[in-house]
Amino acid sequence: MTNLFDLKTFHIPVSQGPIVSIILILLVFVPMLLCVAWMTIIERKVMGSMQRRIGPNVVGYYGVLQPFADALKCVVKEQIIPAQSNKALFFLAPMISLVFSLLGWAPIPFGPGMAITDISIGILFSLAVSSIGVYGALFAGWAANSKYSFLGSLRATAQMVSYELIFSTCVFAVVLLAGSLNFTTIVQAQTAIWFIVPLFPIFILYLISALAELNRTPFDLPEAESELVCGFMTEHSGMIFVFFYLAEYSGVVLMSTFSSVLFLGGYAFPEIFVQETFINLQSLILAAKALLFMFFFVWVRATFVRQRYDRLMIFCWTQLLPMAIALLILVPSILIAFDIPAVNLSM
Amino acid sequence: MNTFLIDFLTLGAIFSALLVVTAKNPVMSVLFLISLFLHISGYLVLQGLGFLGISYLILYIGAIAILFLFVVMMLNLQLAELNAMASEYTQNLPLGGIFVFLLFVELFSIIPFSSHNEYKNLNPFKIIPDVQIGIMNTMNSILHQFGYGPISRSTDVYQTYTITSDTNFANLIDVQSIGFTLYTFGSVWLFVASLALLLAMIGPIVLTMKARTTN
Repeated sequence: MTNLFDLKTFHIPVSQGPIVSIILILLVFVPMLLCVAWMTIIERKVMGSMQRRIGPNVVGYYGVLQPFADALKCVVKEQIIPAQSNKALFFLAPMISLVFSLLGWAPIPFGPGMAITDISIGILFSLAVSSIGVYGALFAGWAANSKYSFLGSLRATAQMVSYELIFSTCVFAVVLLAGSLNFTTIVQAQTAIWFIVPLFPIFILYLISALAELNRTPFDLPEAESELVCGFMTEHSGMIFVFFYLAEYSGVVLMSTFSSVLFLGGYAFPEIFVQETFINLQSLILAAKALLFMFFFVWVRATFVRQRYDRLMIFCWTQLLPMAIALLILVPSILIAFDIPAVNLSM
Repeated sequence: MNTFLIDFLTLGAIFSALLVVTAKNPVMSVLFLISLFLHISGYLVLQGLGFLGISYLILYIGAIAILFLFVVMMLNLQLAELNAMASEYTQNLPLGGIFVFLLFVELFSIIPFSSHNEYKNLNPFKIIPDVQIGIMNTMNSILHQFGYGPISRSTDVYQTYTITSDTNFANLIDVQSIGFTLYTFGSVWLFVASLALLLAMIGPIVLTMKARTTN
């Protein structure tokens, strides 16, 4: 069982020089950015159907070119910079948001070992990158020199930092079961059974905290336009607002992929598309599973109402956190009590 | 390329550490502190200490620096007052210099910097892992003097870094070797540290808890 799969079998050397590395990065990032663009149209069409209206249907067939039209509109809009703002941080903050939500794609495997970097501590890398993304919100609010955006940024940061605790606790339960911090190993450990089955209670906590991490609907207080002002991006307009928008939807797509790797077995599906050549279509499986999560996020947005902020924080610290810690103690206790080793001890 | 990057990150770390002290705006000062942590974590990753570098990112940048920023941003600070305070403190620079000198004398006289690592000559900065193991050995030997010596001293324990700098993240032994070292040679100190953390966690709860009065 321990040497069922050897990472060296699938090892694709990535240090072949800068040009090959850049091509590898482009191979992941260009389809990913297109995916982010179409995530917005997925959201608008699905929410349209759920609310019995058509949704965008003018630009391109069925409205598929709508996101590009939106982006073009935002790019040609006037750029307004507050006079008393800290200019450098004002422009740096959206870029921090975008760059660090894109960096999370580096260790995601699209096939056995087919990641930009298949690093041994990929999970930790993802968590670190997602925690740095918080600075985008924090600096955007402070640099704009406006009370509304500053309070919005404090609100957003407090929420993201609190729910990150729950999120990483749930992720570490998966790590305990897989016995490795490497993404490919975690996927291979799920060939017997997807981790959603043994870890279903943790999966529920994970989904709730993922919604809060992404600032999606039941917890979308960072930008509650109707009752609070637009949040940390109140003063941002035009091109740099597009950066925030892209970062948000890139976060949704990344989180969907991350969840499907952790809980739904990633690219692995029994006996479909398995061939160890360069033409590897297992990424289609990963895409299908990620689409399930994307649909779920949109579905939640069309269904639930927004929570009040104090309830959001109380829910996190007094209800979710004890549950998450209790489950994190329970999982290794069961593993030790029944003498079940982690799936691969040799890695 | 890697040696150039390491030098670049080292210089950047020193530069941003200086800016932390000299920046006039406290928020900018915390910003340079974050930059310092980023440089150090990049430096550790390039040295092959991938796990420690990523831990720096998660713990210091992801948690502690955000709390610093929160506190500094929410305080209603007047920059003029702060600058007046700072000029008072600059009078005490010689005193600070003396303290720093004493600290370094203590550090270099207590901590064994001797290294049995033949690869040390390739890169002078490789001293760090040896120092960590040296600290553990020193502390264990202090215990040993009181008759509590848990585990005998050793200078050849699991090395927590790889020799080739190209396989920064690819080494599979990184996390495991740190775990082995902590749970064997440093087990007592891990226990003491965890007790201290527990105390630090319970302390604020006790301090902030309101006694419920029954009417």
